[in-house]
Amino acid sequence: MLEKDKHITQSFLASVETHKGILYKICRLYQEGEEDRQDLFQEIVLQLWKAHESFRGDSQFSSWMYRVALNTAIVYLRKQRRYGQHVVQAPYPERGEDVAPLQDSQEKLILFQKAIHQLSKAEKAVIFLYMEGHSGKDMADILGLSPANVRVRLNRVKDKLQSIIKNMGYELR
Amino acid sequence: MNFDELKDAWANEPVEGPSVPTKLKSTTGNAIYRLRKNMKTEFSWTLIGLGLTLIFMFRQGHFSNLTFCAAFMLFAQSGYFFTRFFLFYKRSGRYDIGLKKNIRQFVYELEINMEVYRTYSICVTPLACLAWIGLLGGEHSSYIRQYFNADISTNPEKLISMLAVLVALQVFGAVMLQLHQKTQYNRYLKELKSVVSEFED
Repeated sequence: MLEKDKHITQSFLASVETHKGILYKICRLYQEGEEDRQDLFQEIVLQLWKAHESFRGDSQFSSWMYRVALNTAIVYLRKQRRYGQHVVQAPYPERGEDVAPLQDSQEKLILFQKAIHQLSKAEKAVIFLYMEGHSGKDMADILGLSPANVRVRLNRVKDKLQSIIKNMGYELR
Repeated sequence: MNFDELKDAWANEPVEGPSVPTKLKSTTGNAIYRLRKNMKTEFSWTLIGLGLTLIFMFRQGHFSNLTFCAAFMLFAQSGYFFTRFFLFYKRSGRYDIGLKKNIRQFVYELEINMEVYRTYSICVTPLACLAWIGLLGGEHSSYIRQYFNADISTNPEKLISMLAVLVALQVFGAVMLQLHQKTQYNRYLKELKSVVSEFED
């Protein structure tokens, strides 16, 4: 390998290492089993590497990475599961008789993540970018939607999440 | 629900994922890249087919006008269609546009190119068959040689039988292509279309 190529590879791997938390959050969002998450993680890194040449540095590495990673996760094909194979899901508090308010932020987050799994791929992308703290304009840019459309979709997703959590028997305050 | 509060918990949550792989796998579960890979494989096989045709032509040295015209048209049409497919291949898999636009554009162009591929197949199947029958048959069978050099104005039945063979080959080619597209492309197209419809809602 040439010295220049080696340097490019190392700088790419270092950039991915810095932002791997974002990638893993995307994998957790789009895949439920640990094995599937690892496969998707590998896939995202592969696509990032393939698309790396097209990164011109006009935007931040992380913004470009969000775009490629979400794109990959959304068009990623689920593996065909053999009959009888089960997906281990993240534990969350058991449902009570009545709607129970949750106080602990960790419990809230676990429940919230559980609820997100019931959203569509596009809805997951919207709420993910919102939770990552992106502005409406950034979200519109990454998703290829108009800012007004992003606002409408975000409100719809928030409402949907509220009702999913209520159906689980909880209420977040 | 207070989403801002959740945002803080989300940001501060320690994420323990896998380490970044230094060696990447070569297989892919990405629908767009699987399609690109299929296109690449098919392009390679077609190139091999065209290359073999050229080799046979040079090896044989002499062939009927009909064989030459069929082979010439086969190369000309393949050149035109494969330039189109190549341009589509280059355009796909880009990340400089938004998610929705990227996937929608890919699906739109894929559908068009699948139609173009059908047209290509319909155009070149009879030409390829004629060229190969002329090249192989002309070398080994005097009957085929006579058949290709026959004066069709005095042998209309030969013309009719030749046309019947061409139509049969074309129908066979179209059916095979339909099956091929169903297994190699439709599954991914369906998956991508469902994503597009989610964004269109």
